Amino acid sequence: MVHTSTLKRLLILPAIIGLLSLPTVASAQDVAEGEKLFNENCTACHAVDSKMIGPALRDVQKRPGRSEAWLVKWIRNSPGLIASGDALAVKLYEENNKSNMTNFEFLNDGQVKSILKYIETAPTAVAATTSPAGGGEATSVAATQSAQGGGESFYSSSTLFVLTILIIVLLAITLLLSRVKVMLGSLMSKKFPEDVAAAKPSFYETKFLPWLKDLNPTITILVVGGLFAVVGGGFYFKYANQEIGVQKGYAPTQPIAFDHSIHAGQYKIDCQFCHSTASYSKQASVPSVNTCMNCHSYVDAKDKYNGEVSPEIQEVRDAYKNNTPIKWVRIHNLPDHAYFNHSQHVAIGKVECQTCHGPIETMKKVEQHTSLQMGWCINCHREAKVDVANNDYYEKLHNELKGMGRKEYTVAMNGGLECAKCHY
Amino acid sequence: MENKNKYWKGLEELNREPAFVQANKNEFAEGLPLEEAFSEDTMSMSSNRRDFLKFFGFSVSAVALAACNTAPIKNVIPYVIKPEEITPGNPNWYASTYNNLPVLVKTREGRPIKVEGNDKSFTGGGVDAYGQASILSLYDSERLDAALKDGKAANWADIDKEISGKLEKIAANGGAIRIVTNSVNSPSMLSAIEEFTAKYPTTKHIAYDAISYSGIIEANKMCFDKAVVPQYNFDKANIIVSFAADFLGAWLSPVEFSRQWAKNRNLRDGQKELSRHYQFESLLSLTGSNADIRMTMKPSQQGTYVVQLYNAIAKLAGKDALSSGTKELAGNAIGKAATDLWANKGKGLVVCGSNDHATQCIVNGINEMLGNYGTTIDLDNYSKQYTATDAGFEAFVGELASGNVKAVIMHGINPVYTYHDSKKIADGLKKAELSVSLSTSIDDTAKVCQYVAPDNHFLESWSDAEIKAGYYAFAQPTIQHVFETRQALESFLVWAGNTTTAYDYIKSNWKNKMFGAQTRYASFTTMWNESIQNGVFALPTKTASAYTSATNYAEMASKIAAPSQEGALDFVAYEGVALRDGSQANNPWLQEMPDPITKVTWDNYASLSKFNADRLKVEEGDTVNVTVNGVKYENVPVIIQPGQARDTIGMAIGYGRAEMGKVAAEAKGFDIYPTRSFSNGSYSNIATKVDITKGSKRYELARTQTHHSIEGRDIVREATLDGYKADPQVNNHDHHGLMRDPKNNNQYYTLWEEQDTKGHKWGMAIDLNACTGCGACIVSCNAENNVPVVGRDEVRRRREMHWIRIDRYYRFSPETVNEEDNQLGAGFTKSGDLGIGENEGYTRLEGEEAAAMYDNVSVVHVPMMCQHCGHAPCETVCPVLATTHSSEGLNQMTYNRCIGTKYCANNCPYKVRRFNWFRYNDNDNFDYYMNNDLGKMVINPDVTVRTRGVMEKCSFCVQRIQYGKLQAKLENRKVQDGDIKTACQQTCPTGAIVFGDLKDPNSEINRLFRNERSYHMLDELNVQPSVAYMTKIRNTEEVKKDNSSAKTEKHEESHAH
Repeated sequence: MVHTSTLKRLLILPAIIGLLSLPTVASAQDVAEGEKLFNENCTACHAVDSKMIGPALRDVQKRPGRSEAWLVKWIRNSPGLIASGDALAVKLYEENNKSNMTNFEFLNDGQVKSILKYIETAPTAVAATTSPAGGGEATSVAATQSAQGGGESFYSSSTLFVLTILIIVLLAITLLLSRVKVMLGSLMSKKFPEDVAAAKPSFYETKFLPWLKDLNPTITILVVGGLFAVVGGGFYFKYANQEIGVQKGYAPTQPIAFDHSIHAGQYKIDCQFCHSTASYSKQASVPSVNTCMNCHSYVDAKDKYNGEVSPEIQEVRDAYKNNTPIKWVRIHNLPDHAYFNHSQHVAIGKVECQTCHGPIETMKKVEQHTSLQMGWCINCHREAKVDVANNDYYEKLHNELKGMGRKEYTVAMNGGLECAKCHY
Repeated sequence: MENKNKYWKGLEELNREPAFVQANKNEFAEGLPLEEAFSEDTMSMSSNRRDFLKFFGFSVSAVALAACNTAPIKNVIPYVIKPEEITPGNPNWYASTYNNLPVLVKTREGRPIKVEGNDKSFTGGGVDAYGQASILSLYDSERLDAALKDGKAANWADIDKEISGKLEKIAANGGAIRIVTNSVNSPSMLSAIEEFTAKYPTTKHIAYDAISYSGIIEANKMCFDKAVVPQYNFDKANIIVSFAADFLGAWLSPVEFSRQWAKNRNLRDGQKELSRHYQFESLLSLTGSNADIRMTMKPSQQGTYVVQLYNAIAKLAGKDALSSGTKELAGNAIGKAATDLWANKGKGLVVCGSNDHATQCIVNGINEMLGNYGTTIDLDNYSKQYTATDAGFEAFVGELASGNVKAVIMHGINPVYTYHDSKKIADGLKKAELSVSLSTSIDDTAKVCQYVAPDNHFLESWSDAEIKAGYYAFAQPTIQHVFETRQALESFLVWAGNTTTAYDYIKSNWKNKMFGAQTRYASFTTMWNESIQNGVFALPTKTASAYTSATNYAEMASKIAAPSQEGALDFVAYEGVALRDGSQANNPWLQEMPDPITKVTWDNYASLSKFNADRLKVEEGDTVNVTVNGVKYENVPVIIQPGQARDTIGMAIGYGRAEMGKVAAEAKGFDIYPTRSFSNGSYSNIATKVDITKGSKRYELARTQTHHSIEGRDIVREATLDGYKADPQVNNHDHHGLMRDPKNNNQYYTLWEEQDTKGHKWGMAIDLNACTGCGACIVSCNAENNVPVVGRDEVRRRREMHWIRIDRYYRFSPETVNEEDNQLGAGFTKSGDLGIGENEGYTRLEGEEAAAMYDNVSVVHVPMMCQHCGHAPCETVCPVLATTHSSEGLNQMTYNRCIGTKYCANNCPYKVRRFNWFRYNDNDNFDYYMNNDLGKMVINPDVTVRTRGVMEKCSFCVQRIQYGKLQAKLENRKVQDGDIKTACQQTCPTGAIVFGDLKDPNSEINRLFRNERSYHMLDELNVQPSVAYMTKIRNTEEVKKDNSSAKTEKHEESHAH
């Protein structure tokens, strides 16, 4: 990400120098960069036209005392500015319930200024929310999702059960009818032997029966049996897998249609902003309602619902108001005999959330992306490297490695394939 | 010098009983009960074709139905507002206090799951089995879930109104109101009772303990004008003499005393001295089994023995002797103890388990002569655990019976059960206009009370306790109260018209009364927060001063009851280590914990000496009818207890609580409290009006003692202190030369490749010198590792599931057997052949001579769990690789791979593997706690609940290892020695178990593995265990010679009757 933007800037630079006489073009570039930075860094708390956690930013430069220099200082290090006793900063701090704005010291002055430029020129809210390319992606994902969802309901076990019963009943009827036919035939031949003899042979007798007789019985049995085996086996595999808890693709409907593609995708909210315990606890934990309310006490998506509060957001607010917890449906269900600790993988192993959970930031409805089967765990343990150099826990291992002249050390080499690492 | 003492675990093993020999041939007592399962009318083993079709049809449809199951919807329900301190998946620890033990409570997702000792307190982090099990009582589904009026559920507001109304009326009429509690040492509770008394001035507070220390309190009042139980310092005593005080098991403050006792018997850091512990007792107690020198006496002779010791010391001190009334009793042992004590003036300690104040006065006299006050006995920083005097309660019982008490409120006691004359209390309560019990369950007393206002469990309450003078501990709630219960403190306050919550009340009490009394903290908030966090708060200790007394000891000695006639029977009701006074009788962990000595679970029984058993012609499995003080017990199972005094019958209290709940009902047993009596100003556990006859029935006790026989192998190593001083490696030299390969550096012959370990290699050391055998580790392991309770019947079938057991080995004292006999290892014939399954070469010990041998035995306790062998025999025989070796030296058991062949158990030389014969969770046939939602809350979420048909065993608490490693990684540091503690290690009051990383050169475990006393069990098999044991050293050498003559005298004496 950083790489491409630097590259872009390198390309842009001569253009800016060459076209110094054309300031409007340069500022267009600034606006583009500003928009990008704004979306990456600011949207978690701010919108241009509506109050979220932070105030709405439309015309922020025109408010009294907000010189560009002051704004840059404020944005880069607001706690510092407050601490320095700047009257305006302190006033703002008091006005906003003494909640601090995050430091953005990694942005340089130019970048902050480009953000301000973007805010100055930003289109109105409705346009702003539809503009990002991610929106289109999200809809296409949603389409496939809903198709999958429909498929799932068709293949549900009750359908299979009904189908099985139907097959059995139909077979029984066929059997019954054929018996009836044979009986009637024999009755016919007894009562009216001449009629039967005179009768024109049927299609079955002239065409199908000879063809059937010509068939090699071994091959026929193999083909028919094989077909049954493949179809039946497929069904059995699916259900047996489900029975033992393999639920890849499991995407249950949640009580609130929480959309990860908006939160993690469009607004790029860090996973651990909500799943905050992932780095220091066994569980990544589904956020409590008060975490949702950090934003949704302000964010109501009225712009998308004709000025009404989004019904989903309203449910979150109701849950908070009525003190009733939300019963989310658990998607990733490890069996009880497998111990998995998020902090080991997130904080120590530095595994990206997406490695196991898939492209969550594109999922409108979250589905289980991986099988979570043991073989899948093991594969990763075979390949993943242990960062022995940067954790004192591994000091001894690191020294041993240096002694051996080896550079890399996989989880498997450190006993990561042993039973009692996960089963106890 | 090799250690070839003959050790044995039970009489059946020693005598090679045919049933034992037969059972011992197999690892498992019986196979699958297939015949039984198929013996129903509709099913038989010879099923015909139609049956087959039926089964076939059933299984096909069952599969079809099963296939219809989609994955069940599992919800994940986060908080609405997450408390800041709770992180799902991470444990929280809270300091609390249970039964005068400061503890830490581990909670996960808001539910307490484990109790550990508070290492910031005087216990140093130890807890006993009783404390460990307390967590399960929180989830007891039979606790009272609402207030009761006349046995029916009632509204709290209504009963409060009625009780207050009645109290007001009674107080206005001048009627007596009595609050009867157990010893209350909570300053806030006392202050609440004061408030109550202020509102109802006719109130009097009476303290009553089922097992009281009234004798000690009265004696100290008489001798020193201090009506307290002193603080005993066993760690400062070089010579400990105990007269039937089971101070390591159940007496007074066993966790604290065990720690002190072990401190003075530590040889790990090059020490060369041990304390010497004399024990004079009737039954073989846990303390007696750990003593260096143990002498038996009849219970009624206790006073006489104490006077004898007084006289012996008086002689050395040049003081007048008291008239002891009888002739010399214990031969030389008393004299030897006296000499030792005299030589260690101020560094000795004499304690006595008697509840008789006269006897305790003489004990005080002995300690005073020896100058022990101010050193080993501290009357200034005295204990406040027990404050009740029996005379006070007896007076109350009189008042109650006469109908003079108009209102009774009872808290923390169950006198209808624990008082010897239940009917008197029950009838008296009916005479009162108002009777209220604050009991947590419908116990015997609650049943006869008009109102029951159930107290919270301690894990749901705020409270404080002054355990010792100036030493306070706190309890804080770790869970919202599970049922509609209310803390007793709040109940008293409400009735006193004060609606403050317990928290506010205690806090303001501390602010107003305690904050000013201390100087350490400048701000109350800091003091309060720190104290709650630490769980303890101590004022500076006072200087312990020496005390002298002007007591007329001769007069006191004359008050001591005379011992029973020679040859007459004595009876003693004792407190067991697991169940204690019986208030936790509904706790399945405690019921299934084997008694440390007899290894019996789920029952009480009459223990007899071999001598008396022979005379009655009873064997183990028989029953007896016992009549004690007019109370009849029929068909009581018999235990023939080696080391028990002749003419003594012992039975444990705490049983016979059929109506307390399902677990207590399953255990049942006999209620022994009625045998007690009020004599000489206190309740006595000793009775002399005893009659015994052989019972008509037979009864099989669920006893684990010989479930895992060791076939006479060299398991136990033991030596004397003198031997140790001469050679620190005494009895621990390698004597398996034949098994070593001269061509390979004299390494053991081996079948296995060497294991390569990376990073860590975990190991454990167990110091047999510190292990007292108390069993706390067993219950701790139960709680940590979700070990199921299997019940009496399954224990009888040798199917107990405990991952750690404590093997208790007997050895005839050297002086009682001839040298040659004693040199044989149990299981070896005289020619030295292995005698497995054979009776040849064993002479069954019979007759008077044999009985004499059983009179005294020496005991060694050996904790046994998976040894995590480097070359594990179990691993090589598993056909599915369900048990494998880890690169950290662990022997891993993977339940989901296990198909239950049990080969591993058959191949384990240590007999530590346990097979799940049943699914113990969700199974109403095992109605203990894992089959109901409430009971399941105690389950440790980090450990798998095993199912039927798999093998399990000690994992070295691998979940704790993983947790410790992860914490180190998260904190970017190495694992520190002591970071990771196994459950058994953490709870051990004496620190006998040490766990750590053998690859850490500076670790304690590494140091202990190199210690001269360390040995691996069955080293000659070269299975390379990761557990080392350390030779037990006894401080006996010198006395042995003197003592043998004493013993002979005693035998001649006993031959006489």
